[in-house]
Amino acid sequence: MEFKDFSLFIKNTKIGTPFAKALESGKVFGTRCQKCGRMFFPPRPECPDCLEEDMAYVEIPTRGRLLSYTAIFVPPEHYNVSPPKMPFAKVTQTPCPVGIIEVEGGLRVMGWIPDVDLKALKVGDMFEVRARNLKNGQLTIVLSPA
Amino acid sequence: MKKKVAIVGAAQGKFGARGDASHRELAFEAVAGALKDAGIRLSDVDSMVTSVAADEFSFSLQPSAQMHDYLEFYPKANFRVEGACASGSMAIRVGWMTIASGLADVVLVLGAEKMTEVSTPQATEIMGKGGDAIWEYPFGMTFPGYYAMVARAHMATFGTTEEQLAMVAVKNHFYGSQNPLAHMQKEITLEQALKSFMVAYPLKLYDCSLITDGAAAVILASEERAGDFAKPPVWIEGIGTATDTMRISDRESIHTLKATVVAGKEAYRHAGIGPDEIDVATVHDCFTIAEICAYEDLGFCPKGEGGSFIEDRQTYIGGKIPVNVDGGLKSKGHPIGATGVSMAVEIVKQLRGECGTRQVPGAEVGLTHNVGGSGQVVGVTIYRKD
Repeated sequence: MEFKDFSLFIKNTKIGTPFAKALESGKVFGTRCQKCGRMFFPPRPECPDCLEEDMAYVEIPTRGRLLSYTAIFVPPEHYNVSPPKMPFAKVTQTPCPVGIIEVEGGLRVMGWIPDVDLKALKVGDMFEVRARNLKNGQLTIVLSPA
Repeated sequence: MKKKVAIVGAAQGKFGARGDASHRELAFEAVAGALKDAGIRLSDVDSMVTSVAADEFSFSLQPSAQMHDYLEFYPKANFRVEGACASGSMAIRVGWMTIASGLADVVLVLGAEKMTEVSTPQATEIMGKGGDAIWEYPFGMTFPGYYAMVARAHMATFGTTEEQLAMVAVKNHFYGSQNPLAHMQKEITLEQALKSFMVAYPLKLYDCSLITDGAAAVILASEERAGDFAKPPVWIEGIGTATDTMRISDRESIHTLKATVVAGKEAYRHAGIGPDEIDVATVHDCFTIAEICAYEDLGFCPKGEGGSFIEDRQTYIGGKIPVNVDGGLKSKGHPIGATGVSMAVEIVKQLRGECGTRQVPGAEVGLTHNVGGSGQVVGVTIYRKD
């Protein structure tokens, strides 16, 4: 896949290619320092403790508890909906919730929560990290009820 | 603190949507006010520190140099400091360092931001990228979004309610309505706040601070020179600064701004006092939940009790500790680079007894608490009356 098709802004990064390829095959990769064993998500290509670029790409644990969530009703320019040209018309949005879960080992993962209604969400609920193909060809990370 | 440094002049210009003035003209208003307050001219100042948080708002590469030029401060030094919404407090810290190091005796600290030249969605994008631009912003995260996460975690853990959040807005608008330099000088009701439109669940319009143009300036002086000005000095007793993870996901607790806790402890240790000895405080209420967290993380009340602390009106004048009686970021406005300096201006004026209807009677010790981003950098400064 082309990086331009990826919904995260990782095109010109050292971790972009392996992370995106893994995501395409349904896996969410972090990195592990081969020297000290420290695990990272988001993945990074170097260990800030060892100062080495000796990392392995590994699948992260996927199940975890919801720490917090929101839904963005007033979006940034990047996702902004154009104002309608029809007089008196309004744009109304039903934004997709976004949450943070803590998976086994303490790593934290942010993702869209497309399959649960905002009002039904509760801090502490169990979710699973998944890669998701969007209709426009982009890939992203979602949190699905587990 | 080994070296004694005082604020000897303080002023801010009118905060608001200032379509009538350029960035540099706003800066001039504040600097002229601070110099007049100190009873000096710019030629009496040795060095300058400027806080501008984001070039994205000013469309210029070096806005601080343009303000320096407009003031005709050449050939003396100007040093720009940036720490997102805490830039102003970082500039005061650098001003303190400039004097404590012996480089200068009198330093002008200026904070100025002009935010309304971009559209609200553009401002939302610029501020949103103040978080992790690769791993969080792409999920549509905005500045209200980050604090909405803080709010939801706080509500789930401690039972804090949307009504309690709204009570912070009602208080800050009540005091902002008495501040002629505030952006929005109007009182609001609890019902208005609760019925306002959703920005980032559970934060609504009145939970959010304002996108504001404005400037503020203070004059700092060494102990040797502090008595040479028009008004008595206000001493800097403690300067705490701390940092935390860029990703809000990585915070130890999402309902706590750990950088506030660490910076607060450092400032209290410098000053040799505890939170009970603070008479008046300005805290970083960029969102209502941020003020509730500040009550707790600065030790004004136990963790988790911030909601009932505002419900019991403990942060009104007459309560345990009056907070943001200038209207706060919520009603006075939040020109991000100016905010930290404006907080210092308010505390100086409170400690001098110059605040009229919103004066905290007999205030001798004041605290400013200034947060950059969603807690990535925090400055806590403690001031004492001479």
